Amino acid sequence: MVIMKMNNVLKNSLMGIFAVMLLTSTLTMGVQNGINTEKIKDPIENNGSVHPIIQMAEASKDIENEKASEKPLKNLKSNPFESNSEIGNNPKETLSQNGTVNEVTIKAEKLPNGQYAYRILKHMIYDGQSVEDLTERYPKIPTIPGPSIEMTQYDSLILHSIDETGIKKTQKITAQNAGTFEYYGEHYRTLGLFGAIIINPIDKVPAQINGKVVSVDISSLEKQYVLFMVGSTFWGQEIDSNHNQKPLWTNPTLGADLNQLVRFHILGAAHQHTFHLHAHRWLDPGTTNIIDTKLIDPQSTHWFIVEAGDKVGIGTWQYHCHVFAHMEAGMMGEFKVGSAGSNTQSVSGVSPLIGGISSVSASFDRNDQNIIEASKSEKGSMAQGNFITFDITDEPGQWFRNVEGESLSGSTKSLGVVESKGTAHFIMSSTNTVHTISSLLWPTGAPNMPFDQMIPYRGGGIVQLENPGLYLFTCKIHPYMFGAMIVDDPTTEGLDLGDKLSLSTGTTLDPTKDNGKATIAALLRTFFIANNPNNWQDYSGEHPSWKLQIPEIDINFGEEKTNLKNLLLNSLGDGDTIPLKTISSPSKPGIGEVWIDTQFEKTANKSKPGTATKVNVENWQVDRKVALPQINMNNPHNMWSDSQQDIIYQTQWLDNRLTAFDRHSGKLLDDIGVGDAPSQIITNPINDLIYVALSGEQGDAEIKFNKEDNKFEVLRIVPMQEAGQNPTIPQGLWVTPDGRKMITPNDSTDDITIIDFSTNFRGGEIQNRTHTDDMPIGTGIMPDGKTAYVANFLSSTLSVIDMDSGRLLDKIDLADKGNVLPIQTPVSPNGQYVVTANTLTGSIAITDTDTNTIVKTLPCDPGCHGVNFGAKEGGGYYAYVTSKFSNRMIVVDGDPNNDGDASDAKIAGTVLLTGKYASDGKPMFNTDDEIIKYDGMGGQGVYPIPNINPGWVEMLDLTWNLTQDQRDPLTSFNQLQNQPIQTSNNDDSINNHVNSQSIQHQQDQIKPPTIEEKISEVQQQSNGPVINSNSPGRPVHPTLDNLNNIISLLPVPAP
Amino acid sequence: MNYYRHFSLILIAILASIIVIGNLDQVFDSIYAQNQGDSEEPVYPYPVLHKIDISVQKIEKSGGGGDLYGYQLDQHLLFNANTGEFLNNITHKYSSGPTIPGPSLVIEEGDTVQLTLTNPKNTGAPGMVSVHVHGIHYSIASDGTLGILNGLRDEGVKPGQSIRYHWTAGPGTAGTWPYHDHTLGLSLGHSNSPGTNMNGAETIGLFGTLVIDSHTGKTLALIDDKPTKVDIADISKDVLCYVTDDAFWCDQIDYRNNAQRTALWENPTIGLKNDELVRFHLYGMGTDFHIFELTGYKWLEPGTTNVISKKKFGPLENHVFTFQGKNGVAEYRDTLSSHLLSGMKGEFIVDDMGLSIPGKSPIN
Repeated sequence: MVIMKMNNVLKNSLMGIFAVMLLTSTLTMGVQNGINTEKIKDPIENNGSVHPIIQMAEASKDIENEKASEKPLKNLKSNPFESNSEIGNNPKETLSQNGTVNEVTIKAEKLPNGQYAYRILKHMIYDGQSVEDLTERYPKIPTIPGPSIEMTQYDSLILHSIDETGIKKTQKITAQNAGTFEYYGEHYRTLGLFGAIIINPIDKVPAQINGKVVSVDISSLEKQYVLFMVGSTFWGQEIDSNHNQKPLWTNPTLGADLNQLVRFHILGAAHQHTFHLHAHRWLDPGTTNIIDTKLIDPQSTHWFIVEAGDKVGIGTWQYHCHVFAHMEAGMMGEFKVGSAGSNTQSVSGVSPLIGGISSVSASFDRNDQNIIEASKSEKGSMAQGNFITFDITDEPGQWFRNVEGESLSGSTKSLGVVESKGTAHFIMSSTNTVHTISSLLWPTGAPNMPFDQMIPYRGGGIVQLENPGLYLFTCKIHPYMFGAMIVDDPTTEGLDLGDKLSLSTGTTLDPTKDNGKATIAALLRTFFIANNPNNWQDYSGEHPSWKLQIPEIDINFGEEKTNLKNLLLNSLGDGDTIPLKTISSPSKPGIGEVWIDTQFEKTANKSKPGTATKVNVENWQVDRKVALPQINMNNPHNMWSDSQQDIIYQTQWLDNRLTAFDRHSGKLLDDIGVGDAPSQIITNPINDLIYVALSGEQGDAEIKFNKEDNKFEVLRIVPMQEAGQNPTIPQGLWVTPDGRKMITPNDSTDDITIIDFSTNFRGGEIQNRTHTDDMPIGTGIMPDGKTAYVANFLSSTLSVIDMDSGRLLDKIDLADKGNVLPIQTPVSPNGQYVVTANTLTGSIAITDTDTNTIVKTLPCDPGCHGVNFGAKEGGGYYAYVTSKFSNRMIVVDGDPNNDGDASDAKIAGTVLLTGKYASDGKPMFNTDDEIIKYDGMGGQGVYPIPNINPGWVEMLDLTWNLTQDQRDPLTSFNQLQNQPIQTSNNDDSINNHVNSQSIQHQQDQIKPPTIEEKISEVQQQSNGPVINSNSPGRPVHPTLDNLNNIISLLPVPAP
Repeated sequence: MNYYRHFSLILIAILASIIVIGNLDQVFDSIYAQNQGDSEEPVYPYPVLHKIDISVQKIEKSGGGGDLYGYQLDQHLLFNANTGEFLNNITHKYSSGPTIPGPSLVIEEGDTVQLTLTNPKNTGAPGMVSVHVHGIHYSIASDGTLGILNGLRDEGVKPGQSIRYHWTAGPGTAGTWPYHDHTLGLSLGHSNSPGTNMNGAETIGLFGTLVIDSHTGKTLALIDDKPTKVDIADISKDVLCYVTDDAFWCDQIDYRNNAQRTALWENPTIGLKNDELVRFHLYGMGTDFHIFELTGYKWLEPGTTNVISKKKFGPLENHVFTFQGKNGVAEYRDTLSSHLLSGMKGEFIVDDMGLSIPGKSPIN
């Protein structure tokens, strides 16, 4: 009997008939099709290459555009039974032939915290003879999830829905199949507009009870739980045996007595999950499989029946999502099974019914008695309201967007302010790639801190903030993404920042001490600049000025009271309007052009930001911008090119794609998925293979570009760690000039990985990993490929690494000279100095490579970020520096007198990154889309053409007007290393004099090592940790060749 | 005189009978066991108590990047659950040393397990570690979680400690279930201090499989494109693979070789003899989802008669299927693009040898 029933269910499922119809033109509702009927069909769909299952549900690692898999199913036309019709006021006219008609009206409302929820207005039921009003079974307030519409198989449902703008729509459905389905709003599904339609079978259903599969009558259920998995949060609801519904809100405790028969309905509104319940197992409907973990995503729902504590007894049994990053992000709750007869109750979790302190007004009456009653009725959890929801986006200045709006008006959309305690709730619903949600700063000793995840993911997060103070959140992959919460103690005047604050580096900041105060002020200033585009620096015009909007509110910092505006603006001078230096180009031109990723520019035909801006460095004019609206290029971050300098390769950091376009025409050539969050890119100078650091994965992608058909081909992903080890977040990589090795800083594991391409037939293995300081993020390599400089973002240091042995040679303290949060850090092509952009202090550090000391610090703009070297006309180099929160590029001459000593480094000039417009508004530069907002802003990756870095410059053709030194930087480097230089063939006596003087100066600084020291250094290097993962370390003994090299490098005694 | 002789003979006969009858169980056992052939573990006609000792061992990665950890089988003894009488010591069937995945435990529905977990002081985990199991029956005292989750107490072991978990494979628990750590807190972020963490360190090697076979001993398999009921006893190999965020980690039980386990480590070559039956047990583990494919093969969606050639699954979802090997070389792979590009695949070779070749092991 049971088998027959199951076959029927199977048959129906297999025929793929869906119980609920989806309207194609609906404005308000999307109703989901039946589940567990998806067979994996054979491939070959319309596009010919993508398997349908992958298209729909592969939301986490799809190399196609991830957005495609998140679209609501509004295009599905399958309507199994009844045609859509507008229903009048008398539903009796449309009575279904088979049975009862339910008429339900629901309304979408905005909650005080900016989320949305459905509220029931009416539920009437007609069985052909009498009418019954079922509205009493529902709560009187809007709830997340929305009201569960329960009906019986073969019933009809007339669903009136009023969307958040007041538009009413009606749909009619007749339920042929039993099951649980999702309805959701076309907008705001991820912010709360979702609910369940539960169609109960008229037959019994099979379930495994007490070890045997039996038939269960739905009416014998004690209670039902509805759980939605959204982001990294459960939203729940309970339905009792009389069909009365109660909202349980977030991560609730589900209560039951031992052996009570309960049914769980699990649905998904965003992202992919696996639902698991401890100590229970159940029959997977439609199969004979007994399971305890089930995949849930926006297209799959699941329900099951268990006896609470069946054979395992009473206890607090965890239910949670088993996706590890979601567990870390808080996605768990309790199934509390009490003893028989104890009447164990469910307890709701925190809810967004109570918003922040300065809630934006909603279509929601805060004096609604029902709300006030509901707020009082739950123990504990409601009092903990103050629920701030941050939507994670790709939009400049609002990467953590508080959906409530601006908490402190006129400031930023990325701040939430709550009273006493609060909930920080996150959901990645407006971003194409993976992220982490990681604590940067929190009040020392606050529970649940730090909040972090080991691996980047798609989802969300939820965490309770229980102590007053300032909480800063960031993404470990994209560290300029900031969100902040302030939990204010209502008994004190002024907003509380906390007595002491802890940084994720382990440092404690004491606001009563000067450097503690200064650091917090700098962090907050950066926060208010980054998260309010009005606070970005605009250098256009004759007299540019910078007006910083900082809310004038009183804050408490430990015992100190001060005004936030004063605290943040103090160190910038008087007033909040600061005059900026007028743009002035360098007097000496560069050679060729420079490409800058103006990552925050918004254009007319793209929803995502970012363009690549080309500056002709011979006349310092912007002559092209490439937006690529046809592919909605998303946050272009870094570039490199082929060896012939014809094709620009562009990474899209807030996406998963790599793009190629023609340098000369700006024409798009190819665009493919490579892996999540591609950040830095480089080629191997020997074979032109492209390497992209996939900061959302655990390795670097190796890609070939075929010029014959202008197509990319991803060859493999080179992992930065061995299988099973903690996930790395690879960032600013570099390849040695001889193409043999690649160094990649691992942002998450605080180390670097050196890949030696020559070690095995598969083309490269991990040579070693060396621990650096916190969050290494950028690299530069010396011209001989032997030493690398790695910028450690959170520690503000440079690690000096020996590329042969992997050994840490030295450490340079940037913060000591006022440089904090370094990012890109290339070495000058002649190996004399390192230029490091520092984003917190807006400063550029120049480090001398002989002494490894900082010889100069130059001012930069807020969000100082990208650096790369280009050729200067007549010899020497410019370092082109970009800043995220300004629209100008700074041109640094690290060595104006070309003597190898960078202490005379200066700013040679500045370049505005906005293009010029004629009087009729037409752009005087080439562009493929109209710039509408944030013109010239967001400067990050820099790529000068021709590429004069050692390794690449040797591949250039002869048409570039470069000097001999520029074409052969390695010789120049070697020469400058030999001190003093016997320049007997140099006729210029003045130059000679100058040279020997500066060399003398260098000599004074360095004690030339003796032969013994040099030999022992080589020996030390060879016995260092040369770890080859397959074989034990192979010591390298000094050969005769080595000794010869050492001797030739020793200084010749001065005349 | 004769009388006494008869009497003593009868006495001896009676005594002998008593001894024989008393040992009848064992006699039947050995006969029964022999009748099973040496192709599988002996099946006892009564519930078995398994006393299993497991320890956590650190797998040091001196090259940097963080250590891994593995469960190690120290001892597995079988007893008659009713009488307490010792039946067998099968410790030798397991690999020595820590393995990833940890030891594959195979028991019958109706059996009980006493699992003792030890965290050895210097060679184990630096913080509290536990075993949390799915599917089998256990009380809240054996949940393997921290007290803040289970409301009772911390059910794990700090360095130097041991704990005993009690599991019962009651009716309806047949299936393949994972076990994993649920308490070890390791480095997270930039201030690293090992301790406890409510999520555990399941992703860095602390996972393994518990297989509970049902008394009926049959399963559905796709043979010659037709769903066919096969005896579990006829399965030559169990191949158990965890598909993590960056590799397939596999273990193998070879029933043609006395149920010997072989650790196959990362992305191994899996071997099977021509026409033999193999059962794959696949688990997702970590954060990522996977789409599994075995080139050239189709199999049954578990619990149905649907034929599939690809399966998507996520962390701790299982996918178990039985099929017959076809002569030739196939490839098993995770077809999610970044996983495939990172090398999450391996060979499945069916020939007359049927030898599996372990992949790379993290133990240097």
